[in-house]
Amino acid sequence: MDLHEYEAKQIFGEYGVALVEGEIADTPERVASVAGRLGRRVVVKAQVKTGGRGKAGGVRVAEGPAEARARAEEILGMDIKGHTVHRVLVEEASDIAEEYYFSFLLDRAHREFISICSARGGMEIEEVAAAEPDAVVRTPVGPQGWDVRRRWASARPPDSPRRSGTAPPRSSPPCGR
Amino acid sequence: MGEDATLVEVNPLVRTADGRVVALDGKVTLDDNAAYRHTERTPFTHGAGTDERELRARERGLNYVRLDGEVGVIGNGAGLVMSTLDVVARAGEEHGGVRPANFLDIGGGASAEVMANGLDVILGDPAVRSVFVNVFGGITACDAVANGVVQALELLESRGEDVGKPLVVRLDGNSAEQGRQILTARAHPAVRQADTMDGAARLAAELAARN
Repeated sequence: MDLHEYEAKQIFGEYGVALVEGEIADTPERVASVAGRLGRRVVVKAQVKTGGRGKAGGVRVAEGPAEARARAEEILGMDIKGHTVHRVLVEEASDIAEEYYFSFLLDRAHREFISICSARGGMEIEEVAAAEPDAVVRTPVGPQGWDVRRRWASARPPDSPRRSGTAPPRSSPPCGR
Repeated sequence: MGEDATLVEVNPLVRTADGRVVALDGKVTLDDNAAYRHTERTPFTHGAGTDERELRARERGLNYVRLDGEVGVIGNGAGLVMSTLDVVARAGEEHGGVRPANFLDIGGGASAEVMANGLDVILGDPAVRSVFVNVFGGITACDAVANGVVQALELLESRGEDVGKPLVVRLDGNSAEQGRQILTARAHPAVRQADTMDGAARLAAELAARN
């Protein structure tokens, strides 16, 4: 079962992952009132279980409640790849300095959990992996754990200087079994 | 691991101008096969975005997936049901592009109750114009399935539900002859029988196109 973003974040919150403040809403009025509570700039995000929400216009920044309401009117009811938007997540907007990609997933082909980390966040990971393979690190997470932190540190775009001691191994180390 | 998730993705994970590290987006896939261990996550399945009919089917333990066609499909075994979808889609091409309305595998057993639950979910779908019940008797004998169909129709009628949509039943394999006799003897106005899978699919598609 795929979860909505707001459901995933509920779980993240239970595990102490840092999040920005936000609230789910299903009417433009509710969006405006949440935006009023959150302050100056907010992001209105369509809650549909499909990728490419931003490209489809389902994720919009708004300055203040009135603009948030207007964005919500556009997004609610929108069709994104066959999914109708019934709810939006209204969140504080962030001043972003750096964007990363970070995941854990079950790699069925290799029968193990892996972690993928990339210094090019905010884009589809498949595109990054194709265009800039050095910016993506894929590492197994063995049952006894693995030195995943060191591997994450080696994910960097080609134009950034490498810190000493964190040169990326060329191939994935075998998973400890 | 604790949540039995098969995917946890944060894209983007950002460092903000004031130095905080924050998860700006979140994507999680929970393993449905482990759902019984996580009743605290059940509310997620009731959120908007999950098909209402699929939820009802899931509550009754049915393997049901809603599709966008007009011919309801019930079969025993996932493989048989999938090939039934193909055969119906093919037959439907000759009848104005009629297509399967769902996937429903009632598995082995096919008791009256399971059959009634399955028929209930399918007949209640306003898009459905005919139903194809495709059963190959293996461990499950066709006479038991035929009794299941008959009792299911009676059960639904006793609940006051409309069972007027045509039902094409194809029985083959273990005790097929006895099963067919049971259906013939009952002679329910909605039920028609077909000898072959292709013939049944053509009939169901034709009835769906006509209704």
